[in-house]
Order: sequence, then structure tokens, then C-alpha cells
Amino acid sequence: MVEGSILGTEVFPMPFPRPRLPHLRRTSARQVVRRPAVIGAAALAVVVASATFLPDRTTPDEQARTASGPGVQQAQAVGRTEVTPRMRGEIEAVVARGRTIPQRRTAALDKVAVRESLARDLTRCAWLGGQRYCLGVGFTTRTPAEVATSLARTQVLPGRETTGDLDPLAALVRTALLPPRARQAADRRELVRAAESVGKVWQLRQDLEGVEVPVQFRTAQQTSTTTSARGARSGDYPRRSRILRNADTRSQNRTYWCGPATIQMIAWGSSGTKVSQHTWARRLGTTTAGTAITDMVRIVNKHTDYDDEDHAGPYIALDISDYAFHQWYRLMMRHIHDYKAPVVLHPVLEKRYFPYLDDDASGHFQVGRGFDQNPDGRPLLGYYEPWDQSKFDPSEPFIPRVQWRRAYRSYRANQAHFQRNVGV
Amino acid sequence: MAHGTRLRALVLTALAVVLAGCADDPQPETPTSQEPTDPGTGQTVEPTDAPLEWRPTGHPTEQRVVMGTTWSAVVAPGGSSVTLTDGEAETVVAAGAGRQVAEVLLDDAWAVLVMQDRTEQRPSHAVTVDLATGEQRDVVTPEPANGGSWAMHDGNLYYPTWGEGRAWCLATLALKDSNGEEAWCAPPRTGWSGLTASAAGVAMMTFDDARPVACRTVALLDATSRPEPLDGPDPCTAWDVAATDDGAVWSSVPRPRRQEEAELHAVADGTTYDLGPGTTGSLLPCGDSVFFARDPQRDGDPARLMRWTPAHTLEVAYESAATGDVFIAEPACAGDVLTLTVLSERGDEQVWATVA
Repeated sequence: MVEGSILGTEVFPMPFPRPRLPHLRRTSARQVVRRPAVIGAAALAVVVASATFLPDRTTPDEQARTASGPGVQQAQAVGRTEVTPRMRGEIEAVVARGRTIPQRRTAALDKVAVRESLARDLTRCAWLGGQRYCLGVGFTTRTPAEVATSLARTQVLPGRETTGDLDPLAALVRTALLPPRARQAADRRELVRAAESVGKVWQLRQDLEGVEVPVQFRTAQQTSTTTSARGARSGDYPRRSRILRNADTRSQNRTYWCGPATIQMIAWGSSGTKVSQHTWARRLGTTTAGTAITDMVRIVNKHTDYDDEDHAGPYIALDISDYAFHQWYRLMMRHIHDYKAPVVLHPVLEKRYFPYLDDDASGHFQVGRGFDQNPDGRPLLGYYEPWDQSKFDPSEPFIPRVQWRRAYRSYRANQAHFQRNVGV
Repeated sequence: MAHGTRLRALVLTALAVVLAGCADDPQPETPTSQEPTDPGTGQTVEPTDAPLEWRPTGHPTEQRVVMGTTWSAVVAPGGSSVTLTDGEAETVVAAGAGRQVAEVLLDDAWAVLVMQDRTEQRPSHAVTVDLATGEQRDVVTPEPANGGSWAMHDGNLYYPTWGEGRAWCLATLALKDSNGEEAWCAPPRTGWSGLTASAAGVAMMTFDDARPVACRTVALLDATSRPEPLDGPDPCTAWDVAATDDGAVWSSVPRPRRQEEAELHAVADGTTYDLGPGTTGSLLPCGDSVFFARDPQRDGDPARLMRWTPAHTLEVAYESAATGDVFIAEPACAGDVLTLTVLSERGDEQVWATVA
């Protein structure tokens, strides 16, 4: 059944969570041995570390507050969920539905009727372990009809300055243009990845929405203790927290490369090595139309260790359309402080949300990497901004890639994106 | 000094240097909003309540609306067209294929609609509409650039154009006879943005290509439309600027990593005034005054629209009903009518008022 009831009686074995370890950059031993300078630097690093002076760490006060917060429990990321035969059946049913969609040669997306027809045909959702996943869109609480309506009303088509976020209808059309066999393979891969992430979706929904996690998706920690359905609260978190190194930031090299630049900064934080945006663009399948968020999370999972159990678990595109601001902000805190993993932010880059810009642009990607609850003022969000207008014409001055802003503006910019999701 | 002591001092010094070098971020990234960031050197001005008479536009907040005294402009979702109406006549101007409505400039006599290429590759297409006759004309010479800042006042249009050698130039055009000319070009490796125009004059931000932060200067245009740097702002930190009859209002961004948080200042008859915090990009001349948005500074604060008046007073012209998670998005002015879109967790609103 493509859209069915929750699979209530099955047992989905969850991988036993490993102990959380400090995040270490991936560096090969061979590289270190070859370079005496590196050895010296490593020795110095030991000295520095022993001096307990590390950048991007919480202060002792913050650590104490975290440890003694009301009811705080060290967040436990969820590993990959095992894909059961029943899930496989659901996946194959959705893939089979795709076989009836004829391969299109072209698509006149400027015509409303064409968009509506395409959205209706191409919106396909699977019911996986009690969570709905729609191809090209992500995990959502909206019905397939609501998703299709949202896609058909995509308003970026008449024209926006495209900084690189591929609108989902264009992503679906890209799929529709594939030969049937290739399309089925792509659909299957995406759905299997989604099925592997169901445990994480349940975990986040518990944290943020207070829903009860079905027993088969509970972590070992939750199974062994009495688990409250209440999610974490802002008081459970330190005042401020941030991850990643500010030196490891770059602006996008092409107007439509916000996706590759965002992934470049995220992966740089994971491996310690800068890989070219050109390489990331190739891996992401970026075109002049941009990059799809489903490809963004796919690449984070494939090429970084932020998807490990000692970080965030598998990244997903998560629908935040039902989230109030405080829930959205808790999602940021959960990811950044507990998981020590960046968020793929997905706002619209418009002047009403980013008032320093000189004109409106398209959907966009940024790296979410810090928060400051700012008890004397309003909550702040720290992020890396890949967009640098000054690279393309002298109509805006350069500003630093490292930015902090009122989180509520980012929340509204995320909600204003018709896809209303983030990569977490 | 004994050898051992000297060695210890050297080691400690070296360690201190190493440690300092390790911190990629020597400055705290997130100072609270209460920390002094720009102590200011002028006379502090305390605001007084003087709300304008605000009325709903009758449009959803997702729509960009510019209300005028007689005419209003409503941008279609997605920026595909603009509808101009005076309540009786209605004119719809389409953006065209691959374009979006980027700017709507409106007063009692003229509307200028700027349609930007989606990819900012082709020149912008600008249409002028004589509201008295309905006549539409394209802005042809000088050819508009592919992006940038536009302003209009009293039948004169100011906009960006590419000059010789890809210089970023300011064009001026008289709307009545479409007589335009290239007025001034930014020197190599510099640019300009943030145009504002009013009866008091035309102003802009100029900047260079310095890193890690561009050096920004605010300027008023002289009689030949050349920018004359304003005397007063701290070097390189300015952003917004608007002329007044006896001086100017400008903003500075003291913390480059908090780009949206500005400190506002005014100079009038040689005296500098500190107007307090505001939102970068929100400064707007309208009627006889200059306005800027102020986000809530503390828990329980509303969003406010502040007004610097010709009498050198600072007034609160608008205060949101919602507090905390609320902000004013992109205020607009047509003649002496203001339109505000206010977004908040307790509900959005779009309102307009005449600047009395």
C-alpha cells in the first residue's frame, strides 16, 4: 500500500548506539608521518589541547549549565533504521507507480495547467514506519494532495535571481525526463535512504513535538529508561553554542552554486580538508537550475561523518511547516549543541527577511552552525552565508561569511520557502 | 634575569602567541544586544510616541503592496506582474519571461516598475507609467544594469548602468521627456548601492573591495550628481543614508558579523544625534521625515518604526501589537504614504499611513 496505516506490530531492529565520542577530523596516519611539520603541529596541538583552550567549545559555565539543566538528558542520535521487508514492499509499490508516468521530453513549466498536471502525476509518497516521505520533498506531515498543491503553486518559476536552490517541481521534472528504468532506480535509492532514516524522524518528532516514539524505534537508552514524551526545552541548553571553524568558509563561486558552497563548508568541517565546489557540484548533480535539498542531505550522509551515530544520524529533509518558532529553534539547538552537527538551512533569500540585500533572490542554502539564546534580547542563529553579491557585480559590498542574526527572521525565511523544510 | 626564568618567560610567551593564533575567532561572535557596540559621539535622542494613523491594506502579507495617496501598486505572487490601480482604472504590467518585479517606485505622478532578469544576466527592463495619462515608456538610455538600487523623486529617476570598462555608474533620467544621462561612475574596484531620494536630496553608499570587510562610505550627491562623502560617520562602517533639509541620517554596522544590526545617527545643522539601534537596510525618506525599523531589543519589546523629524525629534511612528518575535519587513514609501509589512508569531499585518 502506498499510503497506509502505521506499521504498528513490526519490530525494527535499531543499531546499538555507540558511545558518543569527541568529534575528530578524518586525517590519515600516512599523511601525518610524511610531514615533520605536521608532526610538530600535532605536538603543538597536544600542548594546546592540554591547556584546555579549544576554539568553538562551550565555557565551563555553559558546560555546568548543560549538565545540571532541568531534566536534561544527553541527546542520543539515532543510527540507521533497518529496512524491513514491509518497507521494501512499500518502496516497490511507490516505484511501480512511477512506471506509469510517461517519460517527458520537455515540460512547459511556465504554464499553470502543466505545473498542476506535473505536480499531480509526480508527487509520490511512501508511508514508512509510520512516517510519510514524499519523493523530492522529504519527510512531511502534509498529505500528498497538499504537497502536490504546494508544488503546483511554486512561485519561483516566473523568475527569481537563482542562487542555487533547485525548486522541487523542477527536481521532479528532472526525474520525469529520465528514462523509466533510470527513474525507477533513482526513486528506489531515495526511498531506501528515507526508510533508513525513519528512526531519526521519530526521535526528532519526540524531541520537538512531544509525540510518543513507537517501541520499535526507541533507542537502547530510551528502552532501558522511562522515557518522557516531552521534548527538550530551551532551558536544557546552554546560552550559546557553536560548531565549525570560521576559517573554513567560502562564498559560492557561481550564482547558482549555493548548494555546492554549503556542502563545501559542511564537509570541510567534517574532514578538515577543502574540496572544490566544482567537485561538490558534480556530486550533487547541480545544474544551472540549482541543487535539490534531497541531494544535499544525500551528500552529507555520503561524504561526511555528521551522519554517524556520534553526531546527528542520517540527515533527512524534514518538513517544518507545522513548527512554531520555539520548536524550530529547539531543532537548531538539538542539532548544533547535542549532535555537534551543522544544519542545511533552506530559506528564501528575500529582502523582507534579509534586509541588507539589494534585491530578492531565490530559495537558498546556508550552513546553520550556532545559536545564542540571548536571554537579554531575542534568540540568535549563527550561520555561514555562501552568497556574496559582490562577487558578481558591484551592487552590494562584501560582508563576512560568518553571520549572526535574529533567529525569528531565519525561521520566517524558512517558512516562506514553499518547500518548508531543512536538512537535519 | 636568571637563565631558567628567561627560558620560562620565553616558553610562556611562545605559548601565548600559539594560543592566540589558535583561536580563529578572537572576538566573541555573539555579544548580547545590551553590550555597548557603538557608544556614539553625538547627542542622545530619546524617542516619544507619535503613532501615525495606520490602516490595513486589505492584502495578504505575502503580497508586496505599495500604497500611495491616489494610486497603489500590488505585486503578484512570484513577482510576475504589477497591478496599478486608483480604485477605478487598473493597469497590469507583466514582468515578462524570465523576469521578476524587483522595484516598484510610486508617487502621485509616476510609477516606475523595474523587471529584473531572473539570472541577473540581461539588463533590467524598466517601465515608466505616467499616472495622469496612463502612458507607458521603457527606460532605454542609459541602459539599466542587471541589478542594483533605484530611486525616484519629483519626476527624476536614479538607477545603475554599466559604463565604459564595466564601471558601475549612476544614471539620471527625467521621466517627463525620458532624457537620461550617465551622471557618475564609481572608480575601478569600487561600487555603490542603497540609493535614496527625497526633496532634501539624493544619497548613496559607496564601497571598495577590501577584505575581510568592504570599506563603506555614505555620501550625498552634489548638484552634478557626484557623491560627496558625509562628514561624521566612522570610517568604513556606514550602510544606509538619507538626506534631510539640514543634514542627513545614516546607519553604521559596528559588528560585521551582525550585519543586520545597525546604529542610527543624524546630523543637523552641524550637530550629531545618536538615534539608537535599527535594522540595516530599513532607512527610508518619506514625506518630510526619515524612517527606520527597530527590532525588539528586549523580551517584551514590540517592533517599532522610528521617525526622525525636521524638528530634530525622534518619534515612534508605529509600534506592533506583538512583542518579542516580530519584525518590520521592507517598509515602502510612495510620496508621503508609508506601507509596512509586519511579521510576527502572533499574526502578520500589512498597514499603511499618511505621513502627516
